[in-house]
Formats: sequence, C-alpha cells, structure tokens
Amino acid sequence: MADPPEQIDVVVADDETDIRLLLKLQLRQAGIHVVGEAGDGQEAIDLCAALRPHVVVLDLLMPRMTGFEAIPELLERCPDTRIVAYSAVAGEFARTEMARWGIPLRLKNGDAEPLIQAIRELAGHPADEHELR
Amino acid sequence: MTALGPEALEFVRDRVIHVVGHELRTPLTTVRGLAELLGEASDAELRETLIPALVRNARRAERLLDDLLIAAEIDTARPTDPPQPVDLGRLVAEATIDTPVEVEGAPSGPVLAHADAVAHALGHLVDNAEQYGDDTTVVRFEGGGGTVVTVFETPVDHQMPDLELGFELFFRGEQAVTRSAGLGVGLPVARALARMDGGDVTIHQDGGTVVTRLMLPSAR
Repeated sequence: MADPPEQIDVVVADDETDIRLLLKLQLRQAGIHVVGEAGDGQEAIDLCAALRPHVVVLDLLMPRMTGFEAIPELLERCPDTRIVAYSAVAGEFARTEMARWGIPLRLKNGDAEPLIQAIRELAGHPADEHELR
Repeated sequence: MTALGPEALEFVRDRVIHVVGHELRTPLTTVRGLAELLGEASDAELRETLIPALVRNARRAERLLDDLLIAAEIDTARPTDPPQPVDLGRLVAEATIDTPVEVEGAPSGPVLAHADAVAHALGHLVDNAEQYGDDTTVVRFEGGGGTVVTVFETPVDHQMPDLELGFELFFRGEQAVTRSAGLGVGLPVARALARMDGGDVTIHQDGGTVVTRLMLPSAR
C-alpha cells in the first residue's frame, strides 16, 4: 500500500452551495484541503478526472446526474480517487447500494467528525486515538 | 375522492417523511455546522461569510415549516393582518434575481395582498420554472377586471403529463425523489397563498410552453 499523502486533497460534490461552504470550512479546520467543488455528478467526474484528488465527498441526491449515477464512471475514470458518500437521508436503497460498491456512507448532519474520519481512513491516514468515537 | 388502502397510505407516509426529512436536514445541518464554526471564528471576514449563510438557512427551514402548515391548511400559517397594496413588480424583480427568468414589462398597478405571501408564492413559481423549464422562462403581466395576472411562460420540449397533478401535495412530476430538491408542494402552496388573498394560480400547456398564471386582486 502506498504511503499516505502528507496533505489530503478532496473534491466536494453537493448541489447545495451552503453545504459546500460548510464542508469546505469544516474540512479546512481539520487540515484537509478542498481542491474543487462540484454541483452535480457530471461535474464531480470531470473535476476528479482533472484534479485527481485523494477523496471525493459525493452527495447522492443531486440534479442532472445523481451521486448514484456518477459512481460507476468515477470508479472507471478515477481509480485512484476514493469515494465517500454523503447524504441527508440514508434509506435502505442507499445503504444497500453503497455496501455493494464498498463505499462508506456518512449521514449529512452538523457533526463533520464521522465524515472527516472516513476521509482520513480512505486516504490512508489512520484515525488518531483521540478521534475515535 | 378515492380512499387509499393501507399499503398506499403507508407508501405515501414513507414518501412524505423521506422528502420532509431530506429537505429539513439540509438547512438544519448547515445551521448547526455554521453555528459551531461561528463560535470558534475569530476573524471578521469569516464571520461575515457565516452569519448571512446562517440566516439564509434558518429562513429556509422556516419556509419549509410554513409550506407544510399552508399545504395542510393549518390556520396558524395564515396572516391575521388585513391585505395592503403591494408593489408586485418589485416582488417579481426580487424573486427572479440570479435566476434564468426574464421579466418583460410591469404590472398595471399594485395588488391588494400580503407581501410575504406573494413573495412566497412567487418563490415557488420561480423554483418550478427553474426546475422544469428547458429554456428561459419569460414573465409578463396582464390586467383588467380588478385582477392583476403574473404570467410565467416556460418553454418545455415535450408534452407535460396532466399538469393539474402538480396541485396535489408532494407531487414531484418527472423529478424523482432521488434527483431533485423540493417538497413537491410548490404549486399547491402557491395556490393556497394566492387564494388567501382572493386570487388563484392556474397552469396549462400551450404547445411548447407551460403557462402558469398567478392572479391577485388589483388594489385600484
């Protein structure tokens, strides 16, 4: 397994501008670098192909192209970019689909710590002991 | 009205809870997260970014609650003060800022209504035009007979099936629940708000154009 990167680069994909603002600030505070923002699945694919981030935070419910629809192409075109799904509601369908793809799913709420921990783990940064919850 | 069976009722209940949960989660997530960041923010520039976003999202959550109360015809959402002359042209201009909706002309005069309710109804009609239109929606005005009509003309590239269904609560047309934001109460809420002030909302398709009309009583 490759050494973990010194800096974790992330693309944030969410159709809500204020959610992207919140994530950018929360991730920056955690020392994670947001290198790009996408408003739908196609933008996420294009940005990840161009920027090659370590991780993409992918909202599942977006207009034009959903996160569900973007996943196969992301996996094919950006095999080095890991995906963490991020959703306001996580019904049985979302849970089953993400489990099938082997993609961690985190619930979109005000507590960013589970998402940050998932990003670190995907980028090869084991969680610090004090971060375990 | 046909009564729904238990399975259909359960399906509707689950859909409503799912959609309301999703729509409330977004502003509440933002409010909580931004409030926590604000508590730790020391520089003025960051605070200037956070505070408007907080207000915007608190207002969005409030609007969702208003929508649900109005949609359910719960009287607590109805204004208790009398209607006043309202500058409809200004409200339309405000509702269409930064949207692909173009305004042509101006209304013949003020309407007699509640400004907040008119702004709320216009917000839903503009949202619908953005979500369902294939090109720029044009807004124009008609008048006469004591009514001022705001006409939304939204180009579409296909026949929209039974537009009247849009007045059903939680109907989201071709926008599957997995694809777009919104409760699916825009048209019924806009109609309920217009009717509170003696007006109405209608919708029909005329060839390649969906025509939505917001009618309000003239103040003149």
